[in-house]
Formats: sequence, structure tokens, C-alpha cells
Amino acid sequence: MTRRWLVVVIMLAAPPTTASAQFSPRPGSFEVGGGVVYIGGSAVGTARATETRNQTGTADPLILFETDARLQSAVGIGAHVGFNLTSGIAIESAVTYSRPSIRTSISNDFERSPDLVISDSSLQQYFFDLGVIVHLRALHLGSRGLPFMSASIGYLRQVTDERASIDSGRVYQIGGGLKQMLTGGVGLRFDARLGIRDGGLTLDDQTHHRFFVAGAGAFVLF
Amino acid sequence: MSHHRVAVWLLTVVLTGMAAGRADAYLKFGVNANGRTIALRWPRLPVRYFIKDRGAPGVTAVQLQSAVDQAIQTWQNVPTSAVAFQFVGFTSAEPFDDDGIVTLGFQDRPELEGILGSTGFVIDTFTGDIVEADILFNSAFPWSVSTGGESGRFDLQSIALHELGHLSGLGHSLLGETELSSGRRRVIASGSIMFPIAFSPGVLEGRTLRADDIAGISDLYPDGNFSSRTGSVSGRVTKNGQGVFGAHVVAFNPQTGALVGGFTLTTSGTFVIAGLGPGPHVLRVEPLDDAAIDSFFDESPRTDTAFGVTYLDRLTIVPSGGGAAAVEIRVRSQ
Repeated sequence: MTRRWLVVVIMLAAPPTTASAQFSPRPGSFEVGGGVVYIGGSAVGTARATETRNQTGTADPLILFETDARLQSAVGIGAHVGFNLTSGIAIESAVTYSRPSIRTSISNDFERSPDLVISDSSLQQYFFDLGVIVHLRALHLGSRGLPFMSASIGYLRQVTDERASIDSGRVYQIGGGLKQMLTGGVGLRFDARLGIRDGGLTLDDQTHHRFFVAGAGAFVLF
Repeated sequence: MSHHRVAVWLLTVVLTGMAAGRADAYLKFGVNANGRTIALRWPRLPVRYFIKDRGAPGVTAVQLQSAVDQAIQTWQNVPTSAVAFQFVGFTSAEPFDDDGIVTLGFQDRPELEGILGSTGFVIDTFTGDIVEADILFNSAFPWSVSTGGESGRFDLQSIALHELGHLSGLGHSLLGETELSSGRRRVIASGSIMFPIAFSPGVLEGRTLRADDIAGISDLYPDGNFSSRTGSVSGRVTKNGQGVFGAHVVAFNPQTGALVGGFTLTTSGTFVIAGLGPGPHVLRVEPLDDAAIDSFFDESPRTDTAFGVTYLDRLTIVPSGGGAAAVEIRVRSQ
């Protein structure tokens, strides 16, 4: 699924191949940009509300009900600042903001209450990332398309409305994309990443949850 | 100062609930003073207590004191609560004598059918302060003080833990499931040692406090930064637009697994559950149908049990040191 997304993004963005001089960032230059970001859903965890059985010895607890929660996919906004160490390698910091809802399925009620799904949309989620960009100059797409690979580590902060609850954690992402120069140092950028969330809102012992990110935006190179 | 012995028999019963009394908030006893409800609590700690110098078949007074001491240690080990007790000595005084001392002891009360233990109070009806409280363990039942429990005998430490919760000011919790067997209620499972019906003879699970008990005792006698590190949920339970009295509301924290219960105790259906860890909570409402209503409060006629289990349609986020936005949970007639 992830590969398919990446391929589609690249094909849509790729201009006709030409034989002119190829785009390559100048060492020491900066890149500033922003755009929209799609953050895929991720598991939050399962939990059981239990009571102690009226038995001697080790008996499984009585399950009053079970919950299974997910962070829903959301579209957010992002911004980044990069510095090209060389024409092939850049370091970059980025911030992403989104408001995913928490979707919780409730099932297996002891008193046979029907299963149901509840949701909450009060969560605000921030990624603060620091990463490395490797420009794949050998894979130029035409004169202005420059594929890249990226890897980052970030700080995750999840805040509910009215700051009722704050969770934090780490985010690791790896992926790639395409920078497509337009004119005058302005370009478009498309990327797709796979991420692992370590911490944050977690409702069970499973602390690592995977998610998918896709972004599209513009940047200025100077 | 006006002291009135309140006819509050807070009973741990074997098969059916018989306790009566005015309960306030979610699991605290209260007294109505000048039109407002005040939670019962001890004004000074530690609570100094005596043990009645009488044993029961198979249990000496010294063994009773030991079982009570173990139960006290369990309550005192709650890190977020300041509740404390101090053993003074043995006494010839009887439980429920209006003598100004706290006495715990056995009495042979076969007429109290199904009642393992009970707690009575003398309270100051103006302040809500507990002036005296006694605990009776009914020696008409077979008791065990064995570490590993004994088949056919009730675990004295477990029942002492429950009654000491009452003695501290806690009411009954409805976190438990029961079934009717030969016309009597039997516990299937429980989520609180303050559930009004005891575990079966030989079962030792009643020696361990649950999240509901810990929240309750910490709410009554908070220690350290309990108040700033926990929060509350509040709101109303309604049916056809009208408040529901006596609904059981449970807050479940999926992050910790904690279940803490409370009741709607006004005709407008309002409830407050305090002592919750911060984070998202699932709220579940059920009718009071797993024990006798008068085990919880003395307003049985107003209690509405004609509705089905209902969940709030969203998560409630509990903040640290404050309250979540008030919610309304609409139940349907059943």
C-alpha cells in the first residue's frame, strides 16, 4: 500500500524528461516550505474493564466490557526548514499539526449491551522532527525533478482541548519523495513516509504503533 | 455540639443487602446538615481503636486483632491517602455501646440473618465529623484467620477490610456482578472491596483494594498531591429529558484499567466521580440491580432501575487537578 502511494505521487509529479541541466541544491542553501499533510490512522490499543471473580486461586477476571481504540487519519498542516550541507545531503527540521479523532469500539459488555463505537475529536497532535534528506541525484526525473529519501526522529505531543490531558512520545519516520522545481527557486514537494510512534496516547502495553504519512506542498530555495 | 447516633447499619452481607443510610457523592457517607450534605469523616487521625476481648469459634480475640491489623495496613498502604489507625488495647466494652471509644469485636447475633459484619456511627450532625464508630463481626458465622483461607469459612481479614472502609466513611460500591441463586444473591465478580455482598467462604480476593476503593479513601483523606494529580467527571443521567435518580455511573480509564464508580444522587440526575487518573475515560451507566437498593441509600422509592446499560457517546478526558466538562448521558426506558 505504501509503495503504491509513493509510486503514484512520483508519477503524477514527474515532468517530461528533458536533456537540459539537472536541478541540484546548492551547498549552503536553505529550503523553507510548507503544505498539507495526511497522517494515516494508527492503533491506540485495546483494554478490558475487569472485575475479580468470586473464586479461589487464579481465575480469569470477569470482563465487564472491552475497548479498542484507534487514532483516525487526519489532514493537517506542516512546515519545514532545511539546510543543504552538500548538494546531496540536507538536514531538516519540521513541525506538523493535525487533529485526529479517537475512535473507540466498545464490545463484549457483560450485560449484553450492544457493541458501539464512540469517537472524540478533542485531540491536537504535534510532530517536531529533525531529519536527514538524501537527494538521489542519480535518479533525476527530467531536469527539475529530484527524488529524495528521508529519515527523521521527532518529538510527539498530543494535547486535548482545554489541555485536559497531555501525552508525549517519540516519532521515527523514514520515506522518500520528490522535489519538483518550478521557477525562481520555488518548487513543489511530495513525500510519503512510514512512521513509528513510541509513546503518546496509548491505552495498552503496546507502546509502538505504526502510521503512514503523505505530504504535498511548496518550498523556496535560497 | 449535638451528637446523634445515626441508625446506619453498614452491613457486609452474605446473601442479601440490608444496609440503610444516607449516602453522598459516589461512595462516601454523608449527613444532611442545615440543608446541605456533608461527607462523614474523622476529624483527627489516627483513629484510635480497641478490640473486644471476646473471640469466636476458631478465632481468638488476639487473632481478630491480628486480622484487623492486616486490614488496617492495607488501607494505610494507599500512598495517596492519609488515613491511619492506632490500636489502643483490648476492652470489655461491646461494639455499639455508646461509650465514646471505637470498638471492634465479635458478637453472636444469629438473628442478623446473612449479616457478617456491620459498622455503626455516632456523628456530629452539624459538621459531619465521626465521633465514634464500632464494628461488629457476627460470630454466628464460621470465620477463618488462616493465611491461605479455609474452605467453608469466611476470611476475617477481608471482611475487616470492608468494614474498616465503612468506619473510615466509605459507603458501598456497586462495582460487582451478582446472580440469583435459590432466591439469594451470589457474587460472580467484584471490582471493589466495598461491594455490599461478600465473596464466598474460602475466597481471599477481598483482601486487596481496587481502584474504586483507593479513589474513595484518597478522596476522603487525601495525602500528598493526590488532589492535584487526579481529576473528576461530572454530569447528568437523563431519561426522556428527566433526571434519573440512583443510576450507577462507572468511569473506566483504558490506560490504567481503573474502574471507579459513582451514583446519581439527585432528582436531576447529577453525579460526580472524583479521584480519577488523568486521561481518557469511558463512561458507562447501568441500573442499580446487582444488590438491594437500600444497601446504598435510603431513598429506594425514587431509584429508577428501568433502563438499559448505556455508554456516553464519546470519551471523556479527565484533567489533572480539575474536572472534565460536564456530560449528559441519555438512557432509554427498558
